Amino acid sequence: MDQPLLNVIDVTKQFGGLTAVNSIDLSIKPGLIASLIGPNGAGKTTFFNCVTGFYTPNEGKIIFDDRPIQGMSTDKIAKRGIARTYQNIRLFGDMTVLENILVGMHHRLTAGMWRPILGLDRAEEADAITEAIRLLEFVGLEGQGDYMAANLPYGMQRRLEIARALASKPKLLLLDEPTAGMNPIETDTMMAFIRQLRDELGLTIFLIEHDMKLVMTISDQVSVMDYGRKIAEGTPKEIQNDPTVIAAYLGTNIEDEEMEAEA
Amino acid sequence: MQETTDSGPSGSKSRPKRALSFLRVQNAYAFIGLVLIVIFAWVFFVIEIEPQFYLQEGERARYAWDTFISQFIIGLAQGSIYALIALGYTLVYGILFMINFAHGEVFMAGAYIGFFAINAAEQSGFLESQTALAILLTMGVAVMGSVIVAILLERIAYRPLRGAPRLVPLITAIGASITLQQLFLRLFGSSPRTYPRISLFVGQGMWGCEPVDGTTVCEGIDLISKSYDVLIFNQEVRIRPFFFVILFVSLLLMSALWFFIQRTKTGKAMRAVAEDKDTASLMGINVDRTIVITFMLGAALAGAGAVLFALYNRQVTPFMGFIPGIKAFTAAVLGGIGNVPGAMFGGLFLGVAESVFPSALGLPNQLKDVVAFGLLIVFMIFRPTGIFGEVLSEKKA
Amino acid sequence: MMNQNNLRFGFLETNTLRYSFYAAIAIFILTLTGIFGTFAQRDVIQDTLSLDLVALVLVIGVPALVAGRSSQSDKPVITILNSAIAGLIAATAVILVVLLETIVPQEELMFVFNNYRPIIGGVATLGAGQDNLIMGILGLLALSLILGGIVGGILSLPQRWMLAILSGLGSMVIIGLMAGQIRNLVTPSDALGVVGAFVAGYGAGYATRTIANPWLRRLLGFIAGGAVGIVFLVLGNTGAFAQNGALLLGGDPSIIMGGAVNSSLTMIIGFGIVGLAGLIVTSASSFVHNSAIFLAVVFALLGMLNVQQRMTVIMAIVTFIAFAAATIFIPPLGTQSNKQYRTLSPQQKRSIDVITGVLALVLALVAPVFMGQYITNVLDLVMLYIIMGIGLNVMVGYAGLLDLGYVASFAIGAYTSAILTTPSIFTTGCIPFEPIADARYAEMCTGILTNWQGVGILTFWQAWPIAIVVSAFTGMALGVPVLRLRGDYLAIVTLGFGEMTRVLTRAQITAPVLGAAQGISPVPFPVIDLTSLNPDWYFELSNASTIYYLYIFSVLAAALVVWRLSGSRLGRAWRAMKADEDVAQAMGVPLVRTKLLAFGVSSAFAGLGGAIFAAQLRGIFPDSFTLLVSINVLSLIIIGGLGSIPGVVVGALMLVGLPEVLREIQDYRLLVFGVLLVVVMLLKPDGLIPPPIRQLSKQQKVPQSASPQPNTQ
Repeated sequence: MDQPLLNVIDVTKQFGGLTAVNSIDLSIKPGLIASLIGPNGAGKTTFFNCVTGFYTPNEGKIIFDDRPIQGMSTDKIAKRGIARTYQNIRLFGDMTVLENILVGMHHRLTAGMWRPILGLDRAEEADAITEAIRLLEFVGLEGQGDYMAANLPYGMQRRLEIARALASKPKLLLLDEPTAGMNPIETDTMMAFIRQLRDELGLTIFLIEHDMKLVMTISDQVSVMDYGRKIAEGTPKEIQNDPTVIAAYLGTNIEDEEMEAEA
Repeated sequence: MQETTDSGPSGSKSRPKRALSFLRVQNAYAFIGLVLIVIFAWVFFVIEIEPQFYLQEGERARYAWDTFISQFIIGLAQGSIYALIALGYTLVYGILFMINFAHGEVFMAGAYIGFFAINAAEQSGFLESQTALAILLTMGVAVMGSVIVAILLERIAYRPLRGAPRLVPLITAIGASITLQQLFLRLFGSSPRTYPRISLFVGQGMWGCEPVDGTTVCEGIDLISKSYDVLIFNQEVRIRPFFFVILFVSLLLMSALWFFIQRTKTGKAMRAVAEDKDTASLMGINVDRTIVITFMLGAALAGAGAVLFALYNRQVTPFMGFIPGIKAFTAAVLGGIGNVPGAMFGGLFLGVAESVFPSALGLPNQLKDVVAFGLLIVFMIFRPTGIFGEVLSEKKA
Repeated sequence: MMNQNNLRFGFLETNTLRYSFYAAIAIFILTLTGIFGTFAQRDVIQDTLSLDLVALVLVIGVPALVAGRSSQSDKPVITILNSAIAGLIAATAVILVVLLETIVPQEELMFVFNNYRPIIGGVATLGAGQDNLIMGILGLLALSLILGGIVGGILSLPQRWMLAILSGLGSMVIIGLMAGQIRNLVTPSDALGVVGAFVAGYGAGYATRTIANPWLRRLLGFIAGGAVGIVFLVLGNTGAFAQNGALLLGGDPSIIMGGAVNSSLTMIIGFGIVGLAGLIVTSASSFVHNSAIFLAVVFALLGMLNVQQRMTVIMAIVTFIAFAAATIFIPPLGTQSNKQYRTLSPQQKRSIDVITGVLALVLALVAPVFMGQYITNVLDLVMLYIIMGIGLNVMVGYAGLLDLGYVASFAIGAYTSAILTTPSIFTTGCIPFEPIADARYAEMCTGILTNWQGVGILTFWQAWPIAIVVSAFTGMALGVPVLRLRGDYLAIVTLGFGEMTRVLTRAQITAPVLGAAQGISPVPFPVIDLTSLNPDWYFELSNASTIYYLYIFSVLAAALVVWRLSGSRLGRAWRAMKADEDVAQAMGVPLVRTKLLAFGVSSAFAGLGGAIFAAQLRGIFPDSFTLLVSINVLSLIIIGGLGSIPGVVVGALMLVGLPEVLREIQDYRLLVFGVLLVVVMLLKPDGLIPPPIRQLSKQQKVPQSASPQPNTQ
């Protein structure tokens, strides 16, 4: 239980001359909600992409569930148990809501090419659909199953994206700015929902977020990135009082910050 | 130019563990250099080394430098016409992300309209008296014809579908292509039209001297129809000066286009629209007008290319646009579609390759199309978005 | 197109001017292609209506129709005036050509416009020659005004009447054009019998509407049809259908009743089934109901055409009335049957659907008996394209991989099967100079298959699966180098595969195997040899009507396989990949495997079709494998609606069937094809029949009104 679920060791990702992620170390223990924060362009999403296998890190190791996963293709990593959502929602727009979720179940289903042709996948399909409907209910989209995903309202699309990720029964769920574009009420609902994910499904959650209230309220562990480097890590309280973090966010030097704080 | 994007508009990404990925060359110039070295080495091998193994005394090698040089020059001429057409594909693709399948027919239309112009000039004797001017006027008329066809095409077949799924304009483009082909077939008949045989002499009194009745007459060099034996790199090669005319005119037109895109206000508008139509229109750019201008530019180059092509090949048929169209499109893709220098380079490269390769590889000339497409496939494996990558024009730093 | 700003000046609307101006340009060009000259020789209605006159009417009528439709006014007068003006402007284009002809010397005009034939003196000037040209022009102007006005008047009628008149006129022209090909399809006596049985069943359906038990009703329908059968049988025994019999009604000898006396029971059952069909449609969905009745109307008209042999005036009038009446009266009946259909329980609905399906299949199976060689040939071609369309849909419609070189797979299938079923270096090892008995190959040659079965060449049934498998694997192999390519890059590379196929099949270096320009022939036709079961069961699928069954079987199999796949895990993976490749992969879809399967499945169908094609033509020739095949298949699936199987059928009928059937406009066929592609895409960018949304959650009913449309981004 004390073994970290995700252990990132000294990962670096460069694009040409630009170092987007610079020797990051990071580990997340099972059952935690971990957040990754940092100013725009700090390399957070690139880091996510390294973890999910979309990018191959130039250096370093990523250990997930005791096995190295760096350099594996994204579908293999998904199979290992990492699922994600995207900053700008990326649903399969011209498929129905249920079909989106069924795609999320892809690696858990077994039918290949011949079984459907011979009509032997019916039982599996029926089970999968039942489970997908249950998932829809869980994320609060009951009755929306046969709508085109692209026609859902924005908030529902976010939930659907999470449901799709959940459909793969992940051990680790990566959420890239789950509340982007939401109003405070919606954000609160999402916050409760993320908690529910951890508490009811026992997921480990790793999220990128700009909403500090949300981050500080639900996170067990917060890491801060700036210019590709990890500049701080700790509990929300520690981070809130970390001078380098404040400097990174406000772009002023530390003394000014402290003077303002005293004033 | 050094900064080339490695993949489509969805952003650059590295894909893990691909077969042969270590062979992928990131820099376009390094890639071209590599390709050229390989080709030259092969040609050198075929001409200089291989014959030593099979050649008997006094036999001529099946392939020698003179063949190579003349094929290379023919290829350059052919390639510059491909390049002119390819630019039309690339400009439209760069701005609308659609394959203008009917562009080959725009080319064909130019050739036909040029035929009627030059035919009228011949009938009236104007061609005889003012050859250069007549050819220029023909080219002008052909350009106008192509431009009109392209404007109609854009207005009728493409503009109403601006927001439609990407395959839809492809189908209207195919439909428009067939329609134009058939329309020209029905209008002007299925028998080929033949351009007159034109001679345009330059350098009278200086070149092309022959003794006639004891005195030396220098009738000059015929730029269009005649072939001459010339020494190039110590090899006697028979060439038509017209090949160089084609190359020269094409390069001139391409430079003009390059200047237009880079320097003029409209050119900048084109680049802006290519980047982002919505933002461009917010900045006060008339997007529809810019797109029409793009079509017109592409058509103008195709029309000019059509006259060059027709002066060289002389025969004009309703189906003449098809093969050059496909080849030019291949060239555009080779260079990186949407990329203007890419299209120029792709065209020249494809022309030279399909002219030189079949005999250099010892294949029958029948297979030159197979060589062209085989090359395309090989290139796509190593550089999936073309040699120069996929941009209309690189942003000023 | 209709939503552009339509301003009005007085009674004249800008749309009228806009459309008629476009039309005028098109008409000017069309006239210069010599359309009136080409069509002058052809009669639509014998000695009454020639095709060039139809062309003139269309040239004036279509712009008037478009202008009238786009008119937003409620006042009929304004619609009529706008239509008339549009007609007038359209006619001006023709008059411009007339003037051009008087000004420009004829030989010069015909030097430029090679196909142009002088139109003065033809329909364009209403027969007026050079001397009274002014009268001709004025006459044409007057005609155009009147015709445009009439069109406007028709448009102002209630929708049903308008549609009735238009469909009546349209079918009159189409049947007139096709008369030569379809006049011997159905004999009048057969038409009478079959339509009679259908009507009897239909009537029974209405009479028994109160009976609750569906099977009892169906039995009654069967009996009603069977009764008609018995009547005809009795009549047949009196010799009414024999040579010169009274009930032949002056048409050809009956096909059905010909052998009636011998197999009377079969005949009664056949009529009974028709009666059952008549009954079933009274409570089927309106689509089924309406198509069935239209089919019956066409059947009856074909019977009449067999008597008349030509599109006579009387035939034309009957056709017009029949179609107009059908258009008016059938839809309300269809609404009624639809209403009944909707009240049924799901099981009953299902049973109706199954019966309709079986009846449609029976209809398809007996169709070649009636259709004659020509139409059967066209249908064979259509079905070949349906098979390929269904296959290509896997690649383009589901997996989103744009393939412009589908002809390559088609060619591979055709050539594989041809090579394996003929003596070649692959099979017998050598090709003797003169024909020898099969058995002697083994002595003369040593090829791969020489000693197998003692012959060395395969039958169609052995070669077919091999051809399919070879196509599938070649498709996958071609897929490997292009796995990383996206969108248009893939398109051009696949186009390259297609072009390479074209060149390689013609090239000299492949000639020993592929036969270069001569191709490979003769390829044997498939033989079904079940003589071991029954000495009579020996069938040669050697002509269009027999190979038809092979096609129909393949179409059904292809449709079933792809329908199953599209709703399966693999199908979802394809569609996810089409929507967003990266996300699909991140959700656990292995891209390489999924893409290669798409390539493989798609190519397999092309190979399947190719092998039948080779057997049908009894040989293959490189000319059959051009880019046009790829374009045709791609166009028909997009016109039909990407990813939709019914769409493929409609697309194939429209793009392959229609141009084949309208032989009369031979020279303009491809032009029509091209224009059709543009027009359909402009009017219906999603295709004619977009794919249905799969309602997976059966528990909840999605409200019909709020039912979301497929996304069109």
